[in-house]
Amino acid sequence: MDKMKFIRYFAYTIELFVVFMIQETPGLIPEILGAKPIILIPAALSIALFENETAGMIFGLYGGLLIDFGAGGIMGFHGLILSVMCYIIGRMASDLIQTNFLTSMMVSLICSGITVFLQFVFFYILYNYSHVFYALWAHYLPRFLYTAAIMPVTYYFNRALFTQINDKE
Amino acid sequence: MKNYFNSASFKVMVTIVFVMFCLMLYTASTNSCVVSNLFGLAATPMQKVSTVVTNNASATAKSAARSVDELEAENEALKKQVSELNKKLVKYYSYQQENAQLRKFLELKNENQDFKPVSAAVIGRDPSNLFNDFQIDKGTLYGISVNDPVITEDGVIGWISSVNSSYSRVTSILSPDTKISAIDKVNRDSGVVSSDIKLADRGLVKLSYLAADTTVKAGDIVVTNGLGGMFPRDLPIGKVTEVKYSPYDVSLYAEIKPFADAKTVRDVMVITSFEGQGQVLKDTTSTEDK
Repeated sequence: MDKMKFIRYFAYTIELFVVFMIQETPGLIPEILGAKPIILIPAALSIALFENETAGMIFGLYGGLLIDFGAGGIMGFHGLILSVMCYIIGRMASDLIQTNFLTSMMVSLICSGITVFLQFVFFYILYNYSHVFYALWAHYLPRFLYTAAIMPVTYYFNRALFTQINDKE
Repeated sequence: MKNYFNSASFKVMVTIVFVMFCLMLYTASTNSCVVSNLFGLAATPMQKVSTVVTNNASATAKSAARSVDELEAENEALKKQVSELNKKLVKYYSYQQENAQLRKFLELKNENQDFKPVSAAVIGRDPSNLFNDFQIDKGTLYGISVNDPVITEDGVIGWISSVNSSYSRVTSILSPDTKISAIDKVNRDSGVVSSDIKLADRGLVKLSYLAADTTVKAGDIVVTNGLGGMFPRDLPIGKVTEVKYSPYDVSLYAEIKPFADAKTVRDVMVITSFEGQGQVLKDTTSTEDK
């Protein structure tokens, strides 16, 4: 691995950890309609858009494990989902799709939607909690939209990071 | 296509999926794992720092943003409150005197002498959680264990649902996973305090399984009754706001506004030991509808 690539990967590692700290710190991110975004999802997805499938998958795994640690539930749930998603995105970004703002938003909407829906199924419905449709409408839907809406921030940040370090490379 | 499935990256992905699946099964069965401990060692000190910085910044921003009118209005409200509290204080001293005499007469000891409390700070709140569960900065190193009750100066706030060496997770009183055996302090009617997502959104819990002829009414104080061995008796829970009919049967339930606010709490106390802890827990633990 050349030096610049190593620096870039190190920067991603720090970035995801800082994003995790921001996500978990009480009162730092404002609530909208009672929901808070899972900002590690767009952060990991945007890294996968700029890297190859293996690197994307590793950072997806790392971001997913951080979400699992923060949630305090079952370790590996988000790790599994995000690593597979980031693998597919990394593969598609190198072969099939162009990496631009529009595709990043589509990726964010689809992947955030899948992740939040799986959270709803595995951590709400299967826990046999009551008022299922209320929870979906009042909590999971706003969380999905808020999470997907963070993508422009992480996309432009990671694009700048990738371009800067690639230029020097 | 065949080359794709034979590629190294695909094999790595399949391996990761397999490992993550095993990790999920392992943590689901043991409720703890080395990976979360490692993350905890790295993240907990930094979460403490970021929480303190955020709290200080928030307090500064709040006071700086207030106008003269707001401060004057607050001053007026506080003066009124002081006057009311002074009146209550007079009553309080007389009750205290009476209480002291009764205690002396009955040779009752101070009821909280058996508590072994550990103070802790809230360092994390996960956005995925719907019921205001939170993470605190103390773990097994301070003697905290699973099922320990967590309180604030106002009353019950939750219980320890998982614990690691340097941090613990608290399931809040607003969670459907929380079931507390409780009693109305005024008329001794007992029930189970629990919640659901709709009540949690309004910051309320409910005292369920009240009989049709219950005398529980708005304004009553509800406290723990010590049954179950998870919470010591007489810890304040909250005040009854309304009594309603259960939608599922002929029983009634009372909506309660907890004294402690799980949404904004910053400092808590974990009771690591108390008289009667865990004594009836094994007999009463059962799966209940959430």
